[in-house]
Amino acid sequence: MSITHLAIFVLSLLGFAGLAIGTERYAPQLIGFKPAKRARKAFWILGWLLLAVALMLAALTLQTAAVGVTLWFGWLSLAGLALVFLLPELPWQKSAKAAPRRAPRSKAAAHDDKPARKSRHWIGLSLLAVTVAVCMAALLRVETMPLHRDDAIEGKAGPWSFALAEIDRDPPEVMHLGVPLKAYRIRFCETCDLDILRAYLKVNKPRALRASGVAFGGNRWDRDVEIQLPSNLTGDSELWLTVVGKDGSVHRTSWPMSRVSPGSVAWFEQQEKTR
Amino acid sequence: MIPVRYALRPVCARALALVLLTGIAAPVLAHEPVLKCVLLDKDTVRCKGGYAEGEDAPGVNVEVIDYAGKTVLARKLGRDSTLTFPRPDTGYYVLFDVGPGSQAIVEHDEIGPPKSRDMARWMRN
Repeated sequence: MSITHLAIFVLSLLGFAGLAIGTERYAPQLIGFKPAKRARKAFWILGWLLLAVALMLAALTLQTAAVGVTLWFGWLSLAGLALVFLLPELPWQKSAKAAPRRAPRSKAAAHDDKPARKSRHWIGLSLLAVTVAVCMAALLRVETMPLHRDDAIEGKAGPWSFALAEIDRDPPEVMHLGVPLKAYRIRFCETCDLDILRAYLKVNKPRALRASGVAFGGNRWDRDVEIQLPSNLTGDSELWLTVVGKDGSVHRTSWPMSRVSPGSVAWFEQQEKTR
Repeated sequence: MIPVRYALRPVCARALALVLLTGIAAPVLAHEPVLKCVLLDKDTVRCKGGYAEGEDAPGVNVEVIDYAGKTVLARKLGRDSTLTFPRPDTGYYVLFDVGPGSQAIVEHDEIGPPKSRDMARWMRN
């Protein structure tokens, strides 16, 4: 995965470099001399090709094409920025700096200017470094989608199959009145989805249809819910799913909490011990 | 090149702020009903309802239903968002019913005397 990201970044950087060499203005700044017109044209085409290859790589290898395109834009921005900051640092740029096109306003002013420029330079570089670091940290933190994790449950309620998982595997979130809450996500199979009116979730077996728990939000595809967990929850407590179809039929299924939310069960055990 | 570099500085700062903000923001599902019940003494139960983010829910329906399915008590939460009722003799559960698909349920076996650790004002007589 990281290799893919690195490849997208390097390809974008090379692509931009190609585009720069392809222009009359930036070629001398980047490589120190102006290539022949035909060579510049070739570099220009190569640059676009490399950017396209980076896009293809991103769209085909990352989770979905949409994610790929978005990440490609991100890496593109970083590559562009890197080039912008790199250009003035190239050794053959120094001579250009030493001989400015504009004459300095006065000697004193030019002298005053120097420290300020130096600090701006460092601010710019540190901003870039922080941006890269934050992007890297965010990438490392990217979690698999809940329903694609190994612990997601593939189940069936009546005729409808579905996948269910807790949204995160952390302990429950303790909210108002000290009540622990846990969020879950469900997705019914493509052909079943239209048949579902509502789905409800609750810990412990519902004692009446109207006491089936909290309804999953959303009318299609990924439906989320956040439910209150009972204060005496154990690994044997059952999580009950009630599915009501548009045809009025009701189907129920359940799992032990130790199967669905082991992290939360461990948290309750810990609470019990410290009591 | 240099002016370009300086012109980009505010853009960089904004992009950085955006990255930081989106990175920190966690998924939020607000307005979930929550219900907590305690035994004030061995014959009296007090429940307090509200929403996960900390709001109270005065006037919301609460029902106490026994295990035979009979509604023992149907009231609304008081102005302090609590309801006090005599403890039923049989098995029961408390249904805090905000609206269709939005509810919280507490079973009688969860209801005990408040723990000294999380003793709040409303849990006292």
